[in-house]
Amino acid sequence: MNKNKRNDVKVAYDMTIVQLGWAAWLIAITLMIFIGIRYFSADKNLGIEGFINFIENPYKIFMLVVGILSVPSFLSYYVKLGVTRKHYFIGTALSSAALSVIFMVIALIIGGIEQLIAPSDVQTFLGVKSSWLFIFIVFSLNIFIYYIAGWMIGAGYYRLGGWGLLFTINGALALIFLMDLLWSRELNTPLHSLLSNYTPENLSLVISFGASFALIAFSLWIIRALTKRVRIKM
Amino acid sequence: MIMKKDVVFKHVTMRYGHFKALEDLSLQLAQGKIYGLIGRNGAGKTTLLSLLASFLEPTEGTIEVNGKTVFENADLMQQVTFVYEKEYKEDTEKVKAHLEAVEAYKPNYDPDYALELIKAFNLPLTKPVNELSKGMMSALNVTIGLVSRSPITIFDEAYSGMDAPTREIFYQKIVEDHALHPRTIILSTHLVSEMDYLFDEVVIVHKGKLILKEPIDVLLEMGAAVTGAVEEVDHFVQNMKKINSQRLGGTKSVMVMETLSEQQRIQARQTGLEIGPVSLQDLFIHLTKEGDQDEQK
Repeated sequence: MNKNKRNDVKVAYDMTIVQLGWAAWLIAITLMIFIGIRYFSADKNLGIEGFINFIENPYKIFMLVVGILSVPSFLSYYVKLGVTRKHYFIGTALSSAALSVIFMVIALIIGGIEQLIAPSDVQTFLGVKSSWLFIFIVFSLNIFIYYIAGWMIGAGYYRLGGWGLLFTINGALALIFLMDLLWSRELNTPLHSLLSNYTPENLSLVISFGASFALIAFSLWIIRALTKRVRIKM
Repeated sequence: MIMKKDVVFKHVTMRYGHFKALEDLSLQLAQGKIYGLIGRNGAGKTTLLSLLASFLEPTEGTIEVNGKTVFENADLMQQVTFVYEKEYKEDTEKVKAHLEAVEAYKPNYDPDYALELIKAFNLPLTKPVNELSKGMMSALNVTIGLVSRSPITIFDEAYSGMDAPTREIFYQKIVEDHALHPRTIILSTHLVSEMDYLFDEVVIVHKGKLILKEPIDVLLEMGAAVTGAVEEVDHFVQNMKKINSQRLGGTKSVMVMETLSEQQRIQARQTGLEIGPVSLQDLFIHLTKEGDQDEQK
């Protein structure tokens, strides 16, 4: 086995493989539902935006849930195997980023096949006919954010119990809302509508990307602070 | 003298809220020895051991190996394996895969030795971990502890689920493998009388404090069992600290906390008394009971 490899790289690799295994079910089932709706449903407009758009929300929910599980299941597991909290943190951050990218590669491959079978206009929140590379980058980023949000919630609960949830759930919601404001504006909550009034309708890409990376960095910093010296539950 | 790979606890205090699990505990464990860690329920054994395994950080004090703090030190954490009664209720992974995952992270893991232990403990490789019986779970846990061959290996009551014959196999494997691959092993246990022969040294903790740390032979010489005719025994032990006594007809056996001098031993023999060693179990009961009385005063 890869005994000489650094533990953070090993953790990243292992977690990516395990979580991809879980996601295989999600992707397979979502694809079947998509095909079912697209070709057997009476309403021909269902799923017309294409598979990439269809799987976006399942991906996000998956990442949120897996993120929540990360600290309670993986951190304990790895520290018990003699891995430091720091290596767990780096490994998890890398694996969730890798997962987001792999997810979008899979979605784009399926989307591409879809185009070959039945060409249509790919329609996402980025508009009709935006470049696939652009869709790939922005969607990966947005999926990744959901993992971070879940990860923060799980870390908060593990470290601080119920009070931790109070802070981190709000933190996670803020993160998701802000990302939505920066990118898709798909959400529709009262708070959100209020915030939307103060943000310009079409942000420049530089601002969107810059603010996204700043948000990601800040959230990761919070998660690291919560787990840096955390007591492992036996 | 502190040797390179010794484990050193320096003035360690661990508080959980207002509760002090450990108080100003200093302890040094020499490399390559087998230690028996003994203490009553709630004495702080598991806290002590989980500190060494970096599961938590001490409130005060430091824990060092190789002169470096263990907590979050990647090299040192890799050298410690902590085995305790784990529940794997959610773990649907098969035993084989579970062991492979351990192998990937334990630098000294020996797959051939793993096969040997799997055979000895009759571990079912294809069974999901969460479907193992309690005894099998314990066997899997101690297998992980043994095959990891970590320079510091901790077994914290990891054997309570196993039946007596299986425990016997485990003890035998410890002795055998420790002879071939010397490493620091800490065995924390309630089953004192069953395991005392394994220990090179004994550490007794009581109410978060270190009561003693002695080589087992020195410790056992701290007391003696005096057996013989009731009157003779009573006369012999009258000024000694008695910790236990049993009587059967005209014969009496009294355990005393006293290091007997050569002269006393000769005197005993002359009066037809038999002098034997005390058991670690009796010493343990006595030493931790005394602490209780002190508290009450």
